[in-house]
Amino acid sequence: MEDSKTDDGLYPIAILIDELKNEDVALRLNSVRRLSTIALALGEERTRRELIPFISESNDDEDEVLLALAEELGRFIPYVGGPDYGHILLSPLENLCSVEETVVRDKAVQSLGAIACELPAKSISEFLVPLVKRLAGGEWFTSRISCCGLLPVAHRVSRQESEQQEVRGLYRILSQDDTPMVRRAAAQNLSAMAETVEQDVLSQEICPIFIKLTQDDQDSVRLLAVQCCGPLARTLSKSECLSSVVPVVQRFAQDKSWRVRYNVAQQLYMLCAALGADCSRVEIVPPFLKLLRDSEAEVRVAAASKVASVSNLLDAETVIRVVLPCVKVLAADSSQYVRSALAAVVMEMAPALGKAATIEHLLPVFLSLLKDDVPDVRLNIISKLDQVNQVIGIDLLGESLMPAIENLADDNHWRVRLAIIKYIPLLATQLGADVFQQQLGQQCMRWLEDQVFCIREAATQNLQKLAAEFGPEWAKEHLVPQVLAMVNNSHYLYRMTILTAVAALAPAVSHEVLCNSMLPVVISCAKDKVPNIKFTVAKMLERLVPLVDAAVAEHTIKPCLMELADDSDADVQFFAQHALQSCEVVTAA
Amino acid sequence: MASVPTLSRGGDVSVQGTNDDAQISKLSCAKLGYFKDEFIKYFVRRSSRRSPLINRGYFARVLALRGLLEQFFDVVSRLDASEGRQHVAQVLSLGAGFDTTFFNIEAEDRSRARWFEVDFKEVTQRKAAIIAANAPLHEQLGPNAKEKIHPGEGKVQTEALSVLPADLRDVDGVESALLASGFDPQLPTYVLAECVLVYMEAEESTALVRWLGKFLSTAACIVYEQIKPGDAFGRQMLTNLECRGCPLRGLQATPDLAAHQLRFLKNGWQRADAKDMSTIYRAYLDPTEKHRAERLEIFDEFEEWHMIQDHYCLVLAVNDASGVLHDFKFKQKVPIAAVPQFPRAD
Amino acid sequence: MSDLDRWIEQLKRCEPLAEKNVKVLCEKALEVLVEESNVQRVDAPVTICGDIHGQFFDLMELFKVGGECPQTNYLFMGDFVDRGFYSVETFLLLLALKVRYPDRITLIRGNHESRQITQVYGFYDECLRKYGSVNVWRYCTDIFDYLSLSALIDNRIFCVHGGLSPAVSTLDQIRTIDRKQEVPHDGAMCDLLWSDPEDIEGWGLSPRGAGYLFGGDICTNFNHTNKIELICRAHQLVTEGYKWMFNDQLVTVWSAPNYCYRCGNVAAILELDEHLNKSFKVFEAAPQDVRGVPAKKAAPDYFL
Repeated sequence: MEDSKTDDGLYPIAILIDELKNEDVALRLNSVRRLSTIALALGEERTRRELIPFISESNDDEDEVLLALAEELGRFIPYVGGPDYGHILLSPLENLCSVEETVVRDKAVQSLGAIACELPAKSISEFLVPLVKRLAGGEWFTSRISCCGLLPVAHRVSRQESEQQEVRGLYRILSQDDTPMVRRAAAQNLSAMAETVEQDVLSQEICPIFIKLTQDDQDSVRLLAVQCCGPLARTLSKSECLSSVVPVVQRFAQDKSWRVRYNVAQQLYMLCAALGADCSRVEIVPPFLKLLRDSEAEVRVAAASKVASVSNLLDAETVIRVVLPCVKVLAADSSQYVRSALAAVVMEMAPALGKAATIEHLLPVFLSLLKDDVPDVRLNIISKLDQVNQVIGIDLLGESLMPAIENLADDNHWRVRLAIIKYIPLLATQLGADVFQQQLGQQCMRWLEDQVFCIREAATQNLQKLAAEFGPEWAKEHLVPQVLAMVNNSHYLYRMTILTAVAALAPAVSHEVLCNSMLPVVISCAKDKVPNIKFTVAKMLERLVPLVDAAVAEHTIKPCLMELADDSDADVQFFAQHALQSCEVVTAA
Repeated sequence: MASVPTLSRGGDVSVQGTNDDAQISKLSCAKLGYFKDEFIKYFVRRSSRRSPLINRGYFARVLALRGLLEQFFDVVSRLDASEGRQHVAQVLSLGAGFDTTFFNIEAEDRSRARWFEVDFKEVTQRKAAIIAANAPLHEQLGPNAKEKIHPGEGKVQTEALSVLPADLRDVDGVESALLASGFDPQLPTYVLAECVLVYMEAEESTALVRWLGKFLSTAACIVYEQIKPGDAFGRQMLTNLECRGCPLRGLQATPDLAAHQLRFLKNGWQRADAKDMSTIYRAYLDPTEKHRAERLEIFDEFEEWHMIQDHYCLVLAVNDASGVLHDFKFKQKVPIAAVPQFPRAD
Repeated sequence: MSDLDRWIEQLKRCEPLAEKNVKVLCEKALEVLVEESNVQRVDAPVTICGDIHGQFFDLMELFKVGGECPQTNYLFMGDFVDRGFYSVETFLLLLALKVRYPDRITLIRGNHESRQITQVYGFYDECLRKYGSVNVWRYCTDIFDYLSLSALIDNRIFCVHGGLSPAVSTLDQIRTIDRKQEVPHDGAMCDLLWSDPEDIEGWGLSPRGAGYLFGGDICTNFNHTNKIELICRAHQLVTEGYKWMFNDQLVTVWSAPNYCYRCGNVAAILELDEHLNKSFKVFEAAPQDVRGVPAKKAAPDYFL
């Protein structure tokens, strides 16, 4: 950073300006990124008089340059002399509002919004409102689309009622534009518009526009209008919500376009929150159930992913009576995406149901999803296992889960195996040493010989956590001998895993076990034929040094490392020397 | 692992974006000499060199489609020009985007047809504006053509070419727009749908096919689009295009050649044939042209080439009230060679 | 921590090195590679990998399955660059590992390690895009010329990117090639990097326009003459990750899952233990959340 500062200081300004016109896009882009530096060097006045007009002309550039320009201009007020001069920046941004590339336009609108918030009242009336009007009347739909994005801000910053009225008038006109994309932009900004107006204007002016957009013949417009249902419901009074939003939602839930239904499915829980449990049960639950059984998988995905948030806003009795039957059907849905979405949220229904109902109704669903053919579904369930614990307790969970976990422990997908391993320490805590050892002890050892490196690595870390949980005596009996017995594997990668496991267990066992059982095994591996094993020995010894008596370090570990430091293999030498150095540091301390 | 399908907000907009992508690729081909197209450059804002596989694929598509179009012109020109009509046939290009075939054919002075292009208004607006802005384009449309180009409405309305804004999901709208601009359903018509139907819901595209079958008594309909959603390559294709915001909504309903034929046969068309692009490339393209193109670039993507070509097809359907199109069909150019055994996807 | 170790850490996060560091790295790499034989001797145990093609996050997936270097020994059979989005990071990481642990990792040349091919298939453009100049491309392609052409594991397994050449019947003939040059359009060096096995008798013309097709009889003769039991090669996409041919005398290993983010294939590596026992590890492409958000323009191409 400091480099670039001095760079900038020395950088001749003429070159930067030249670069703004350079053939090479990368240079132009770079120069736009340093626009504020140029402005600082020019001073406020020349920036206003020369730089901004120059920039206003360079509208025909690559999109990425224009995008950078739109972004820079949004924070340019300090460089043109403060808010009183902010209106100078409107003109270049207005040009950018009509380009073809959506990303550039969006950024220009965003920057205009930022500037508008800083402008004094005078500039709003004199420059911003006229600009908005020009955009609204633009021949190209691009500028009219940009206008839709700007209207909510313009409405918010206008101080005069007459101007605000005018702005709302433009919004009404654009919401009926001939070009569907403009109507789409209007629909997209409906929520923002709704937030800036007073309650009475909301119901008198915005709601009718909303209703109209929801009846648009283009499903893409309706689609966006639907997304306003939730936000509108939050702002409107309950009675207005019931009279204007709820009927729309109920109609949309049966729209012929599945994309509209998809969006409704995502909105419903917000309506539930606004309406409260009683009202929702009557008005919202029926369309929601319909969406859960929709003929399109995508719609069911959307509805299924909201099943917990909707349920949690309802009373348990309703959930059990009407929602749960649908959930059971979804758990066997033909689409993996539906099952996957359900798997991600189903357990979040537990708090709403309470323990007894969870065990009776939810657990079977849960277990069937845990055995799903698709790894994503299984993974989604595994990642929520701890939530289930909290509701039904480990005893029951362990009992019903154990067969499934045993299955998943050998899952074909290594990421599923990994997810299970990561869950093991939590399970261990709750099952207790004896039950754990009986049920999962052997499996934990088998993972050390998994085909996939990453699983073997996770397995060694798992052992470390188990040893920490159940204590040194337990580790001595149930982990150490089993691990050490595997050190003679004929494959170097598996021997390496064992060495890593030994080092991982070392801090959790007694000094006696470490020095008498484990250390000799590690030392014996220094004679291995494979260099990789030898340097792994060096690395592991380095980890063991701080854990043993100085005498052991001096008389057992050091000689072994010295021998390795003389090995013919460069990497063995390197790691042995490295270990010896830290040996010195530790023994010196 | 697959992820949950996401829905892009502006599905239509992304589908329209496929038009830009196709033009960039065609320009890439034209620049490298795969085929001649002096007009495509006006329709591309940012050119970009495509990989040899993409270039070769567009080459195969353009050559195959061009061949069918010329064959159609040949067939109908035999019909007789004696009636004194300037045009004996029509071309109806559905979801035409910025396709330049009209300009290329017109420039070669070989067009015997009136052209009608239909697309979303947002697309036709841009197309009209580009035609209006570039003399080499509007000069092809005859004298004073500029007055007949209306970028704001997204319309071009000249004797030779009509560009019309309409949503193909609304067949009534399409029909009235066509009739209003002088389309004659009685004339032999060549209908082209290049990567169009597959983006529509199956019911919508079927409705379109059915309407065409009823509307046009003497017509050939050519479809070029993706097939085979079921294998690994196909599944990945679905996911990738979905991520781009243009899911192939119709693909499951027409997953193979037979389904494509059936869609036409069951919806008012007399005969239909379909071939995958691997087959088309092996045996239905002019071998000299093919040989020339194959030497334009280093090509080191054979395995993938076979895979991707297996996942595209050409469909040829005919409705032939008058018997004019009796001989219009896929014409084999060379015997089908043995399929290379090793690098197959499936 | 040395510069080299820092660079390796940086590259493992998929962050490209500064241009000046690439220059230094390539200078160091040259010193290591120039010493290697055209038929580089490699000791088992070692894990053999096929094409990577700039699919950086899938290479990370490969290491998750096979183990990290230097703990696991690796032999990469070329085609590190082109096609994927991260050729720069992929090649530089492998090269940095090579410089840091020359005995633990072997890199041999693929047909894409060439000036001409990289200008068509993406590496050149990627360097230009990421560095604003083609210097890094120059440094890397200069290093390509020094990469070995093949490897021989415990005198029993011959590894090469493409396959055999009618100009080569003994390993000694390969040893005499002057490899320090751009891949030629024909001849032994070209064939080793371009040829493909095919179910034919004898030699055939390759549709690729470079190299040859060779049949099982050619393979049998070569293995017999050179007292080797297996040819291990990459170069061709095999959708199951690996594929045996010619009565297990040759195997193709492919290590780029979902090749070009488009093909939907799985990938494989071949693990050889110290007794030359073979085990294939098949893996899939890195999941989307691991891979990060792909840039908008980076979507794979189709005919649209």
